[in-house]
Amino acid sequence: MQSIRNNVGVFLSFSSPTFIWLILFFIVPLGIVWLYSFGENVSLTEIETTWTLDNYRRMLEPEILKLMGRSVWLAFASTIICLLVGFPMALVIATASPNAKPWLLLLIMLPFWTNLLIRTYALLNILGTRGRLNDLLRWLYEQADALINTIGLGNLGLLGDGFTPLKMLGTPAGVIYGIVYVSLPFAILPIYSSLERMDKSLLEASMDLGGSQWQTAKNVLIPLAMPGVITAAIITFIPALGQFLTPDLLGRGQVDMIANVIERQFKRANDWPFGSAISLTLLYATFMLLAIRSFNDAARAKRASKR
Amino acid sequence: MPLFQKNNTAGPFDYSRKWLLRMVFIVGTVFLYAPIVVLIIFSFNDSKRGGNIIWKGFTTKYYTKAFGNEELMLAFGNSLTIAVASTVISVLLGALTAIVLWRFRFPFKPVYEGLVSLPIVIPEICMGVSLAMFFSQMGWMQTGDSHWPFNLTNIIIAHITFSFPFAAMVIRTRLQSFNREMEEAAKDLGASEFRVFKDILLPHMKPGLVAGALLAFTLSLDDFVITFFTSGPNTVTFPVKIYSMVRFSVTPEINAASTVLIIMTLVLTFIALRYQRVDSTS
Amino acid sequence: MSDPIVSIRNISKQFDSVLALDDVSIDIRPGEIFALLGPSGCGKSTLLRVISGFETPTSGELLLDGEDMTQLPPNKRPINMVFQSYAVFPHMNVETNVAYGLKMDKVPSDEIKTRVATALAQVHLEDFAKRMPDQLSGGQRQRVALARALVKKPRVLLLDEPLSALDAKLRDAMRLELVKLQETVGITFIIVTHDQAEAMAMADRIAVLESGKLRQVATPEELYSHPIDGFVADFIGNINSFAVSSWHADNGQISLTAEHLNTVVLAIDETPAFLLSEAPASDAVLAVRPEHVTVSLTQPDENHVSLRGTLGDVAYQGQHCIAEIRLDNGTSISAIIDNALAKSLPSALEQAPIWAFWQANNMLLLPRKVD
Repeated sequence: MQSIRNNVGVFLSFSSPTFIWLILFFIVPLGIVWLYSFGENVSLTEIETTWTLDNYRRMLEPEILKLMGRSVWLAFASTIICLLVGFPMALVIATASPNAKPWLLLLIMLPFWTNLLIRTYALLNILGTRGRLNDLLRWLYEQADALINTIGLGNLGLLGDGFTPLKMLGTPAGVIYGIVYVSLPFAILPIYSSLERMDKSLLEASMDLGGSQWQTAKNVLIPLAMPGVITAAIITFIPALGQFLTPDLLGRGQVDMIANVIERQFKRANDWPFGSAISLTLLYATFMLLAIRSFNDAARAKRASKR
Repeated sequence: MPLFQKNNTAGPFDYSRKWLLRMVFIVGTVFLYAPIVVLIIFSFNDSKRGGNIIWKGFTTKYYTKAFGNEELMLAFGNSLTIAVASTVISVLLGALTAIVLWRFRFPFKPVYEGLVSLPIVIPEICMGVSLAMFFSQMGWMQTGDSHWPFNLTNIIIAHITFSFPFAAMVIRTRLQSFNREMEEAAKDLGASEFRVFKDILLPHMKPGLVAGALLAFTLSLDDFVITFFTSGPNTVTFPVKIYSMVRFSVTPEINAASTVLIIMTLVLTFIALRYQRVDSTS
Repeated sequence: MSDPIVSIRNISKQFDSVLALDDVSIDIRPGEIFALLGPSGCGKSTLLRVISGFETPTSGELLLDGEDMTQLPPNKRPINMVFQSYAVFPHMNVETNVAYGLKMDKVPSDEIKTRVATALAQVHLEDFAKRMPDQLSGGQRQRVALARALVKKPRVLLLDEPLSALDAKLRDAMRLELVKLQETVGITFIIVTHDQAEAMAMADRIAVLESGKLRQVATPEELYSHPIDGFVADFIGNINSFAVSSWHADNGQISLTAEHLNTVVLAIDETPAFLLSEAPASDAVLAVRPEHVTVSLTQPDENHVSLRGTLGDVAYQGQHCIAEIRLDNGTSISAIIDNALAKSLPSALEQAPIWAFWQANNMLLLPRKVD
């Protein structure tokens, strides 16, 4: 690392293209959103920034609040599922043999490299009432039914009147399924890297001191993997909160989230000021989550420095 | 695969050998792959409806149909053009950014660093909306009427903005493994600053540049939301085209087109891996 | 004596709040192996980087063959370096690595060819010319780094901790080989090391640095037998030191008292200046090397300096043993004794009283530390 004092020329010629690009195509556009969020439609095509707070006030309408609440809980539920499934999967990869490890990682990462739209679209085949998931459930039902009949309990009607297909498309469950599907690789990677770095002798020390498998996992493994789990939670939650495609395609317009409302303001309702205000609210929520994470990191760094 | 060998010598912390964890892993993997595999299989199904349930025999006619669909092919061409253009500029900007962050100490560095990583973390819908408003404010939305490839300028700019920070991140990671003594050794042997850059630093950066380029390329091909907002009515990319087709109905043709894209991404990923492996052993 | 090849004149180097080099002046003679020795953080590496041109001193000047090169960038200095990590370029094969410096000097390509071949032969790597660095062992990579620097025929070759990354067996072999190589090429070597045994074995002269200050420059023998102060004495081999409590000089003799010891009488030409300064007597130490100390279960005669303690651990070293004698204030001294004597001693557990003794004329009277 060197000071820029002796290399001002090199420094400026290397840093200014990025800087100018970000100002022009990132900061200025966000600035426009910010200005419009205090604006009004004065005609069909013109918007004037009148510093009105109406657009923000409108977000307190019950319909919008309900939508935001739904976005948060769908994102939250998806994140929890991702962590619950991702942790054991990350653990398996982290402790696999050195030869198998890169392949297992690749196995998890490959879907991530596949187009998001295609992956979401692919779920349509799976989740429909006559889709693959219901085929599987029907098969399981029939097997169970046959089993019950052979052991002579058939007339008790334990399984109801017959197989009713599970409705996933257009329900929160379907949307959660979709979000988990597209975010799972994101959740696995940070947990994997924190497990990978962990010194295995810490686990052995715990067992050596009399801890059982479960106690060791609870008292040593999971606490030490916590930084990775928190990172995983945040980088799963943020994109989940702003999901557009999943609720759009799998929610069938019945399970809209914030992004769908934003899209509607721009593409159909043509209410850009309101759309801007919602976008910014989503952005602020993102910043808050990131701030929580950096506080968390800073606190850990401080503790480490005191030692 | 060694992971799935029966082994009775597993230690207490060989979690990868515990059957319950293995089950979770296998179920999770099936969960990730089943939809894609089903999609690929059904792209060969001889049935008019793409979401169809019943296997009606093998056919490749939907591939012929997809390749014969002029609009789809145009959209595909647009997507590739955008990906190539945005990759080139993203890698350039990413490399400059990475070098600046790696090499220099300067006032407000954390601010610069934060600014660069912001496009990675903000929700893509926010970015799509803001760029859409920016382009329309600048009166650039009309580029849809200009000639190819200039009608793609908006989308290319948008793609560069969200992909170069990723490229910068990858390249910077590579730079961090650079041994500064290499640079000093070259100087000690008489090399000028420029020769050091060309002979020593650039070859070291190369795998990072390639990885950054592949990442930028995939991100560009993958993007739907931001493109959806920044494309004019007459410029259609592959994901945007598929989206409009999906809204209309699920057809085997979409399955076929999607399969082509999946295979393409697979091939690119394997090239990247092969390249990295070759690079690390030589 | 010939003119110095490198003159380090009053060089200081300040890093933020740390004074890494404090007014260091050394003359290095042509054709010698010169070692910069000191504990980590003493400034020896900074000094090497000043000589190579990667650091510019805050003050002072650096002369090469009498000419000032303080401001010359590293790529313009006729000085080359073997880096601690060797810094062999990973994307070039052995030959290309060695040729790199000549290419930078625009040497004609057929001359490069012959010079590279000669250099590779000098380090016994003729058969490895086409290998890539990751196909070489650590020792071979170091030879590449050596050849790469030597092929430029530098006036001075700098070696930064050249043996620290090698395993013990290879280290001993490489020590000899470096000395032989230096004799063949006749180039001045400046070696940075923290290992006093390495410096003693290889160098013609050694500079001992500590906390950015130059303590002493001398041949290995001089350093060992006439260290300038307690720090150097302790750094170059082990030594047992005793703080002086009072002294009296008279008629070519000085008699001193020190903790644990009976009165010691030494013959001197004149009273050392450090005793006459304002500093209290305890800033002087009496010191004796372990190989001059022997032990006995009975009290030795009056002609020896002696002290009484209890026998601590006896560590077997192969050709001899090191015995620890514990003193009543919790400190201990060590003595090198022969294996037969060690066998006759009771075990440490018995805490047997024991005497350590030596000849007074084996003692060194030193300031604790010269500033």
